[in-house]
Amino acid sequence: MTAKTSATATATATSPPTNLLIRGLTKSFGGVKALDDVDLTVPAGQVHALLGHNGAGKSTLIKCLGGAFPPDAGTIEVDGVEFARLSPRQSIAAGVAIIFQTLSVVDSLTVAENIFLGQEWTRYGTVDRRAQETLAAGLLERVAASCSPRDRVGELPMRQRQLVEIAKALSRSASVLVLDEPTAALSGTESDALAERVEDLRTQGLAIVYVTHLLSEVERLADAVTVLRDGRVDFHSPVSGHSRKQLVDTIVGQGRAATPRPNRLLQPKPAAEGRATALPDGTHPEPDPRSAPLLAVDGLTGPGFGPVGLDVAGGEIVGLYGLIGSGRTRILETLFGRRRRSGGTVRVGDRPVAPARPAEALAAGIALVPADRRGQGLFATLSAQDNVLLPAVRPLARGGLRSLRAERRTFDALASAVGLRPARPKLPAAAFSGGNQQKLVLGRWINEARGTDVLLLDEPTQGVDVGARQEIYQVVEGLAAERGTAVLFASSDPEEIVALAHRCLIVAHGRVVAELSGTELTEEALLSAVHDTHTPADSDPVGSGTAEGAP
Amino acid sequence: MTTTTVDSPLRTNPRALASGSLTAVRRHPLVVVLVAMVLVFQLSTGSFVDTANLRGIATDAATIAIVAVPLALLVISGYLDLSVGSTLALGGLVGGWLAGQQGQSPVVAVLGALAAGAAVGAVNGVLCCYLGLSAFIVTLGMLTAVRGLAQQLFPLPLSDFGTGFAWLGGARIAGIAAPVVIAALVLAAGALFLALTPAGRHVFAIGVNREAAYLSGINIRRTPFALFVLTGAAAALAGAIRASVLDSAVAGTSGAGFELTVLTAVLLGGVALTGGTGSIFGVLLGVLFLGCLQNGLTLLSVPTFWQLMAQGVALVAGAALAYFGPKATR
Amino acid sequence: MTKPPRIGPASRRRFLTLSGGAVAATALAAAGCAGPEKTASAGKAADGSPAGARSLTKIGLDYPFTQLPLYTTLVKLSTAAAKKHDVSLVTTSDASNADTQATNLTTWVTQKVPAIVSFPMVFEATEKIAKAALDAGLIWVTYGGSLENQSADIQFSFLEGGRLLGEAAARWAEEELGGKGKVAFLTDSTIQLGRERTKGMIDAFTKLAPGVDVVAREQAIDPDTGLSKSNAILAKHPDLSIILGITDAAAYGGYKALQQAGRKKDDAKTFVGGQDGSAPSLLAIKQGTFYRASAALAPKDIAAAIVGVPLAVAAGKADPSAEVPITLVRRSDGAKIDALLAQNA
Repeated sequence: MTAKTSATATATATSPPTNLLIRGLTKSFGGVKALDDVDLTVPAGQVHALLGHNGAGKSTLIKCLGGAFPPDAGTIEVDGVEFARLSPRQSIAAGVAIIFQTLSVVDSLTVAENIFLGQEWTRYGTVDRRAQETLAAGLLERVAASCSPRDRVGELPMRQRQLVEIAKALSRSASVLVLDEPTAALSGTESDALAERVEDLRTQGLAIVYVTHLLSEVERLADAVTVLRDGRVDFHSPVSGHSRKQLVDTIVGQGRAATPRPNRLLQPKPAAEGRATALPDGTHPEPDPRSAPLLAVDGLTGPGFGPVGLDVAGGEIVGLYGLIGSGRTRILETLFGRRRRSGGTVRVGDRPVAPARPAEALAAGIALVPADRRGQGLFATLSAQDNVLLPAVRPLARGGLRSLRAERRTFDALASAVGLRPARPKLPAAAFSGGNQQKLVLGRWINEARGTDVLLLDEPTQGVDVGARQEIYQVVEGLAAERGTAVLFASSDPEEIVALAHRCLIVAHGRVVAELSGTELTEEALLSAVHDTHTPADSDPVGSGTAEGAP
Repeated sequence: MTTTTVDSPLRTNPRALASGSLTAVRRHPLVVVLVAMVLVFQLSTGSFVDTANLRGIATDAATIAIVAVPLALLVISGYLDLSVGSTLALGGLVGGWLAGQQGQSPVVAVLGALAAGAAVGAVNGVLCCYLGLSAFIVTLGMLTAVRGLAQQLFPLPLSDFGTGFAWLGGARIAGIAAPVVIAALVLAAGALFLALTPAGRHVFAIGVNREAAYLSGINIRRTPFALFVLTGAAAALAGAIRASVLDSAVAGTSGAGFELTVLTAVLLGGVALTGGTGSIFGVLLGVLFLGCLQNGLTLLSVPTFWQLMAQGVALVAGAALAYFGPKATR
Repeated sequence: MTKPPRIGPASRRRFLTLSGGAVAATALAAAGCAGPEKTASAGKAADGSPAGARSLTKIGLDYPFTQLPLYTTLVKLSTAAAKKHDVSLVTTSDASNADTQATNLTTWVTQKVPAIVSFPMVFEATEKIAKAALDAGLIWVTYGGSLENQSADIQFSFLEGGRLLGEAAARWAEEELGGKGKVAFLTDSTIQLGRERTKGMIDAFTKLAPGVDVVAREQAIDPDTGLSKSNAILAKHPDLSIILGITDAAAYGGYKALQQAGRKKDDAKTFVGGQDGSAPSLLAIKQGTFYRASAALAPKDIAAAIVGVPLAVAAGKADPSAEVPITLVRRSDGAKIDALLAQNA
């Protein structure tokens, strides 16, 4: 609560005009307070970072601001005009522009058509294309987009689409710009470029609310930061003077980041199968590089990548770091049998494996957690239990009928192993936060009814809040350490690679171009390795990796 | 009167029971419509809730239910079968022909009908599940093609199938008509399949997210294929039952429009055309709704065109309630 | 026999519209267009004067309701009848679709099929094609009605069929039930043919048996609907004694409903009757059940007209048109039933 007083103090102390002033905003859903007396003040020319778990109330706050939900109490003041509730139309008219994670651009229309969608310039009753394109060109220049007003949005890279949406906001003369995890679908260089745009827009006098999970972005961009927890303002401060450690501690919760929770419920497999055992202190043992690799890939080739060779030992966690389009997703999907290989060999232990379908890969002990959670991982309308147990229902069944008791027991064990919250088996997956949804998908492959020797993860914490991210890391580390699973994960986030990987392979143009391990494995080294190999970062066509471009 | 209710022992019944049935009502608001409809028909005709009439409704609804159950499973898994009307005709004709013209035993006749229907379903299944063609187009095409096949094979109406075959549609088992018993078995089997078998979970998973199901190692082709075969066989069985009841079958007109009746029952019952949601209990409600509506309007002697309007309005109202009801009561 | 009332253009349009998709409508129409006597004479006349104005080598039969059993029967019998005159018969496959029918007819006119016998689904829409055919010097025979532009027509009296059935049932009620009892009508009000049959049937019955209670008038033309509607009616009136159907198919459903309600197959106090002369009903009549009558059209008579009328036009006969008679078939007409069944086989 001291945080809140300081927030008010900041607001009264600042002299520039306040574009956005939220006071006492409260919103409940069915008795649960999603927002509880939240204040937020964003003056013109400031970037205000909004952090917190998924489910902490960030999206409810944004939706109240955008007019999707009427708040139960409190006021929203935009440019000095106070509202008790907003309709979506009023919100736009008042000058609020929200760029959601899932962009609302229409792929089949041109850039100019998208910018002026719903507010077309007309001449004699028809759309005045030329006027729109001239105006659009000006707006695109303002956001330093490199696309032309006549380009079709669907053919543009993700970052350009985002800029088109920002240009659209500017065309409506927005004074408050809300960016909801804008870099989630961007690669490192693209994120840097976006950050520059955000800085430009700040100097142009917009009040910017920047929702993110990435502390590096907070450090770089934010003038002030608000952390929500359980619908309340948990922490509020100007950024300067706070270390990353402090931020992490606040976001993750008291001490949770410092001492990893031991994975009590992940029982090691019987000794005969166990390839590595946890050290008494609960940390993972450094895998012995001389031991025979559990996953051995040699000369793997497929459309758009290869030949790729790599080894992962049992209990080892290896990262695949590369930009969008580098081929890291393709490598994982080919190992999993989702894509056809054109050459090379894969061995799991001593067995050669050549899966033509995911089912065959799974039978051989290889599992994949895909990057596109909503499209490829989650069954949004099915219950948590169905989601986690789907591949296990048949093995658990007795005499062709489901064993409901065994299922429930397995679910309970898994839910506590991955730290699922809430651990309610009947709740539909869509009702969980992004982090908990990811735990559901991950949990599918760590249950005992199905053995997983090799776990492939593609962007394991995309769209996952910081707290859940730590928990997912712990689960993965626990699997490697206690079950001896070989883990191979792809990520475009250097921070994640450093946090999780024992060893990292740098992927560019469909090949492994470098390897970093031990003390060499730092964020700086990763970034420079990629910059050395990738010439123009954006030269890669969008369509080169189907799943990789998807948000 | 009100005081009696307040003091009635019903009040002391466990709350769980009340809240349990309340949940059922929330999940299936069609229950309310159905009860209201039965009340209105009973009060206005005086003969709706009558053993003979209910028996008639049940027999009419039986063939719809027999096809609606596998079709609902198919729709939950994200597919569709529009060819059931023609398959019904083919099944009835094959069964009747075997029993009548060929003098085969009723068992052989029914097996023949089932085989014919399963064959149609297998063609649908191969085209939709294994070759990935649109189920809408494929089964719409099969609707026409199978009708043509039935007419080519049996250009003239068939009748006089013999007493053995008449058993299928006319026999009473413990006082209940054979088609109703068959329908009850099919409904029970469908409900158990969805709730208690691994494949039942797979049906939902495939309907919600095919790609995720595929990546979870589920065979996303075999289960829907089997459901296509089952749907075809069930349609043929319904055809055989109708042929048995009527002791006749006509290639050109038997089961015409039946596909839409069944689909209406399935959708009214809360099965989403987009796949992934639905229950057999809902399907049962949808079937009963259609059966009661048709029967009640006839009892009321509503003039033809008014009946058509009333049917249409009732359908839309039922669907609207099923759609808006749960949100309103939440 | 008096000339039957012609079907007015307005009612035909309605017929058209409704039958566009409705199987029910087509089943009815099919039923409607079956039977003759005058035809036979027309055929003979053509036979007798082979050295007419034109000699005919080919007749096109355009009967759109291909899903009806009658279609198969008509094609078979007409082909046989044509062969006797050394004429070949070609057919369309319209699948009860008015647009397909128009396309097929236009093709025939373009190809100069010398004589076209067409049952138009939409009479108004066919005028133009018929005119084009006449302009091209082709023979156009309208089936089931008449057009402005035509060489001749083949007509049926649907009112008459209904009347025959209604009268027979009423007389039976007077004799067997003493003029009391309950009657249910399975009717059709969606198309013109259906309305004519319905009117003929109900008017005749109620006039001759005023003491019988009319307990239901329900739309039903196919056996499934006939069955379920009769079941509902029987639930309310278990003592129902008479069911009269607009089609034999619907009446057959009623016949089955009564049996399922426990009525014995040959119950002396029950009467079911229909129209068309369809095979299952004829069999039931022949077996001496309470299915007692059908107002039947003889497919052979229709086939004779289909071939005979164009030939008569080609021969330059003064009055080439034909009216196909409808006769009431009862159990005592054993020979007639056998003949009709043979035609259907």
